[in-house]
Amino acid sequence: MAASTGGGRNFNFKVVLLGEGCVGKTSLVLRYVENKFNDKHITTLQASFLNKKLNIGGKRVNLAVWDTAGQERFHALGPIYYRDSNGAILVYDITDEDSFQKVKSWVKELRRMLGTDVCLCIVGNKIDLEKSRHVTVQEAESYAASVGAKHFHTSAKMGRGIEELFLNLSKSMIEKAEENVGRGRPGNNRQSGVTVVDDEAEPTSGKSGCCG
Amino acid sequence: MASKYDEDVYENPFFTKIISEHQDHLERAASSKGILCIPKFSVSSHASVTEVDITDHILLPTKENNNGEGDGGGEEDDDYITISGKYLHYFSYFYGKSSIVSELFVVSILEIAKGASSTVKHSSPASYQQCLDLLWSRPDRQKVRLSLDKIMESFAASYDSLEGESLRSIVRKSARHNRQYMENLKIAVETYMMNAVHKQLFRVITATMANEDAEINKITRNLVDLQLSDLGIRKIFSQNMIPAKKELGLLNRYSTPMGRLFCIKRVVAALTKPPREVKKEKRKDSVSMMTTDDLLPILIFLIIKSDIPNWMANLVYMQHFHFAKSSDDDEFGFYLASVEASIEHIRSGNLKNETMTLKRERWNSIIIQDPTDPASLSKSLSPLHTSIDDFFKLVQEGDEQKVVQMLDRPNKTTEEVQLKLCHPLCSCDKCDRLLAALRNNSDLVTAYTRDNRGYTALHIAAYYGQGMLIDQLVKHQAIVDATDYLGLTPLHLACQRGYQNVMCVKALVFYDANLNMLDINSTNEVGDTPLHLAAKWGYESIVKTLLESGADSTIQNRKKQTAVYLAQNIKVQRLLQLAADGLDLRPIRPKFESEAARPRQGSSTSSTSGSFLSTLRSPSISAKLDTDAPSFTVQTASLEEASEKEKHRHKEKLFKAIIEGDIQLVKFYLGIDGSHGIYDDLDDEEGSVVTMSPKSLADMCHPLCQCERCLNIQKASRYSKGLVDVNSRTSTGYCPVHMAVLHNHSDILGLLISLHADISAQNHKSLTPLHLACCVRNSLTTDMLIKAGAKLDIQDMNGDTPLLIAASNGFINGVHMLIQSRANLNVVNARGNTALHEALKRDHTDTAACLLKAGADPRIKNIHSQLPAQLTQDATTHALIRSAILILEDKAKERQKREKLRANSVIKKTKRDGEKQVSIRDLFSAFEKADLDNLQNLTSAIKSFNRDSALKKAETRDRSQTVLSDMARRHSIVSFNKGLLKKVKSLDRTDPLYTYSLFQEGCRVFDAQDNPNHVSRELDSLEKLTRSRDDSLNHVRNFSCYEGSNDWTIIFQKQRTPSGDLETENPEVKSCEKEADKMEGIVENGQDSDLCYETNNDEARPVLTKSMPASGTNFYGDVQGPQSQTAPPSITISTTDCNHETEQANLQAFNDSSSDDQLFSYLETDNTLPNANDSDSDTEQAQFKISIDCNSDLGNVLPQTQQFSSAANSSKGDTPHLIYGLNHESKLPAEVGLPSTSVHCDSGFLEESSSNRS
Repeated sequence: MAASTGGGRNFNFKVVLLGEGCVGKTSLVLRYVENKFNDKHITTLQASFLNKKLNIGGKRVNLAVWDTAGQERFHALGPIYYRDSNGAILVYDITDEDSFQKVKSWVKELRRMLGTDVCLCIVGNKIDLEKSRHVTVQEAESYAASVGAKHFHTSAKMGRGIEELFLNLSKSMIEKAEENVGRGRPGNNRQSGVTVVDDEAEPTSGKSGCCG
Repeated sequence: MASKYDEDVYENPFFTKIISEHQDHLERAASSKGILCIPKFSVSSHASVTEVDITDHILLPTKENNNGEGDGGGEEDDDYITISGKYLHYFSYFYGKSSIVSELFVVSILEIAKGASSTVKHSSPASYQQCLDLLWSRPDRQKVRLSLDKIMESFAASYDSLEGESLRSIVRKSARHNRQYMENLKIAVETYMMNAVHKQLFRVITATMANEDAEINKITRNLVDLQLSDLGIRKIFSQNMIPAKKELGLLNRYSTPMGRLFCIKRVVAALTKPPREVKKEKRKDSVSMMTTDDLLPILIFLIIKSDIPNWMANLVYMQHFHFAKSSDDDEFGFYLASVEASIEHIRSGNLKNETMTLKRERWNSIIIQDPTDPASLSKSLSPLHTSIDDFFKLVQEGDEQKVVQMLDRPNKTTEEVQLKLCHPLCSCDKCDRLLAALRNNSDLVTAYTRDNRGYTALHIAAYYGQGMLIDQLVKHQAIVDATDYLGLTPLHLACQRGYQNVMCVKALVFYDANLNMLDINSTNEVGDTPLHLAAKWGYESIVKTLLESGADSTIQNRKKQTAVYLAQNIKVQRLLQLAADGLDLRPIRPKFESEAARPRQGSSTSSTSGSFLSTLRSPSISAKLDTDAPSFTVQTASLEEASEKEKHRHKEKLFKAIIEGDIQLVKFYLGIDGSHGIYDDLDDEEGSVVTMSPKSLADMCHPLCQCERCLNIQKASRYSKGLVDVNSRTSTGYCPVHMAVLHNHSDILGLLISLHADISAQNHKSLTPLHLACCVRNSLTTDMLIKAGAKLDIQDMNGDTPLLIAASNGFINGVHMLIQSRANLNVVNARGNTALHEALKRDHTDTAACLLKAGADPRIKNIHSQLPAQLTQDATTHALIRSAILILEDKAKERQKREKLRANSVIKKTKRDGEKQVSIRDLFSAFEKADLDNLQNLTSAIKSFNRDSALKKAETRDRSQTVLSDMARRHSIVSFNKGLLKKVKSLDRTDPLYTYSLFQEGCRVFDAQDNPNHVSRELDSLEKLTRSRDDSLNHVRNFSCYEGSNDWTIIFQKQRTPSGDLETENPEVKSCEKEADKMEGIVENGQDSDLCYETNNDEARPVLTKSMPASGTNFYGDVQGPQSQTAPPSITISTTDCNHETEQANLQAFNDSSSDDQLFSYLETDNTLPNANDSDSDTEQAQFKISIDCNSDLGNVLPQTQQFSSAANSSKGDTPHLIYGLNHESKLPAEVGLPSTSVHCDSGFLEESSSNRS
């Protein structure tokens, strides 16, 4: 799975986008990835999973951005998506108070399920619609601080704040990963049955013992 | 977690104990979202459970944790407190199910809880030993441990070789410096390995996940008619759906997790492949962008539509058995997560609710505007169709009450209308109007109405799992075996959908099992039986149910796949395999039946006694069922009763109608659609009037056949609910025919006859309708019955035929008719009376006259030995009788004469014509003037003649001949006259001339004493014989072979002189006479059948005089070989006879007198003779041997030696034989010692013996 590998200078991060429907999760990630990628790289119009390679301070970071379904009927499927993720971007629509409440519930759920290992970013999208803002900046930022998350203002339409968001998130994820390595606990691999440690020592040995 | 645990919790004693005895604790746990810990079966079954134990196993969350958000579950590190107050630090995370009490299985908590006092904590094992203890401490695990140890050892042993120059080192060497290459190698290794182990591994996974897969399949099967729009999928993606689905269908073909992941990736790629038109446009076009919100429903749709029955297993396989990292990993991870999410969503069941509303709307739209089916379109316009629609919708929703209501409506209205009618068949204006109104009632729906897919209501009910409705529908005559346009029966649908939880399958199978209504092995258009479908989708319990009900697991579908082949689930496979191997699962069946009956009872809320079954089914079918399934459960028995009652009611009505002579009503009840029938509109399709009798129902290919012909019959039969069999009987065995005859309704009788009613049916008194017709003296009915071919000579209980009854009733017309139709005139009833007796007894003289005229025999006596004539005083009758007798006798004589004549003439004719057959013309010309009788005689004569000629071929005569000849031979042998025996002279090989001269001397003595001519004649023959002696010997030998089969007994009777003396004064003479007799048996011919013996035995002479010791004793002799001549003269006599002593003495005296003579002594046991050997053991009892030597010194008396050696064989008696040897020769060669049943007389030796002496 997409576990962070803190051993070398390469990082693989899984970032999951959560939020109510129509808050612009997909637009956000599309804007981010598309701006950097050539058109030919996007061979499909598939926008639910995107890869982004970054180089931050000499550290190569591979971001795997998982978009999730925003529809309420798929809410229960959240855990399947966000498990093992290193970062989560919780998007709300600044014009929609409900979407912010949804973010709150997501935060709770994520903290419960993933603990503190996950880096959270709360994103108020659609700042181009500042006029009809319903969620105050102060409320959002104070909430983000209270749960240990960063807060960003973005506009997928205008392409504002998105780079900043991902860069920040990546940095904090790197920090966290290095922290974990220092503590000797890389990531949380709780439920995956077998993890093959990628140290070239035993590339094949894991296979025999796993058919329980 | 619970689902991965394979124990059935309801079998767990601990759990059952809690359920049964500690409900309060359970409730408490439930109310506070506690956890119930249930020890593993192996643990809990050993320990006796106390209440403390139970309280120790119920965990209640401590306060802080009780306010967790939702029940989405998660990782928890919670403290729980047991009811009994013990704290438990509980180390596990779990996905709390929405169920209130999570059942958790802890391996050894019971023991730990017992041991621990306050805080129970799972401390992780610290040492190897502890680990071992933890794993293997229980003795029942030792086996597993041993086998595992072995595996481990072998692994350890082979590990070194792996360590050497192995794959690993290859990988390492080649990939040391290139990371990318290393990654690829890893994938290669993984793929290689996984491909190798894939088969076993995946099977295990499938088996493990079988339950979950079945669960999903159940859901997906029920969603197969899902539409894209149901899931809110945008139309833009729909065109990519087909290639994507195709791609996904290949999933199971990939062996490695990698392959499967790529497969899914390709699916997504296929999905997101831009349609051509879109490609040309700007790519950023947001309409064609696929977000997760789009992807998820599409995946859900694809998963449902794909025919993959093992999604869970696939998921696990891909998730846990993909190790090598690749550059695409993250993407795979996402797709996998999406698939998992989709499956999870399907599992959650939200989909169903979600789509339900959508579907319902769609349902309506389909019905109203189905463009593919113009017929249904036109139908849909009619109001009738709408009601059917409503009906189906109700069925789908399982609204039992309304469905029943709708189904009942037509019946009710029909009944109501019928009540209003003047007469059930009235066709007056008013009644017509009422009926028309009924007909036009658009609300008329039935259980066999079909929708545009060919589904009946029963299909719908099975499809949507409305188990209760199945009962109701079957009650309303739904066809259990009906197929839709794709050949699917309701059972197929139910099996495909896995609705066993709502008892659909069981209910359907129940009908099959008990009523043979349903072919459990019916196939759909691709040849799949219900079993195939159930096996494919892994519905274990359905498979079990089907197998128990006798489904055939060996049937192949059109792709030649058996159910076993299709089964993904190992458990199902095993079940099927067992069934295929012939292990009958049926013994469980009684249990199953009751099981099936129970839910049915419970579900059919409104069915009281379950009278739904065959209430309205035609009686013939239920009668058939009766015979087919004699062992019904109690319930079905009650059903039968109910239907019986129904039947009975209709029957009563029918009989009543017959009695009243209401032919229209009779027609109605018999299901004949007259021109005024209520339901004639329904037969419009058939055009003409359909005669619907149960008989024609029986003509159907199968009671539930769906072919065109049968459908018509069925259709008609459905409306003739009250149908009564034309041959149905009352309790006293009266048929409608009986009734019609009894009540003189000739029209009804005609109708019944035209319906092929059994007109010779017998009631409980064995009376046929004809009897009754004669009883009631109805000429018309009698005539009809006779013309319809009723049997004329059936005897009733009293032995009366219709003729007898007619005669006794003086029913002269009937008698006439019966006579004309050649009823037997002379049948005798139980009282010995003929028709004539009966007629005269009741003074029906005209009847009697009629009978006499027809040739009834007045000479027959009844049991009181009365002639018919004695029963009447009527003079004319007497005269008639007399004349009749005369006529009869004359006729008989004449007939005899004629017979002879005809026979002779015919024989002559045929003889004259040789083999040529008598031509018809010849016959007619020959017997032009002959009456019918004569002609018959002639034909019979011809027949008999022909038979005679045929008999010639049989070779019976030959057979009898052989038998006869055999018998004759035996007889001739028994009554063999020894006097006819030819003389055989066995002479010595010594010089014949010398012998002859010697013999002549002896003859002279004979001549002097007796008849010289005779002797000389004998001597002549002797001479001849001497020459052919050798030949005769051979014959004798041959004969000896034959002898065993013929019993020969020669009885010697001792003849004594009155003086009682032994004729000592003249023994020689006697002996000589004896010798002269020359009794010789010659076997002239070796042929077994032609034995001829000739004996010249002079009767006047005494046979064996002095030497026979006892009177009346039978001797069976054996010829003994002669002893040497030099033996001292002696006579040995041994006998068992009572006279033995005196005989001995006498013989001794005799011996003394001839002491000088040479003695030929013969010992009884001579081994040279095979026959002697045979009878050795037997001869010991009674042996009589005499050796007599006569002294030549006794004047002119010839020296004689008589030797009798008799061996009695009496003890056995089977082959008594006699060898009667008269040996005059001492040097008789061994072979001359003739075998038994030969008489040997030789005179030649006399010379020799005398010469020896001299």
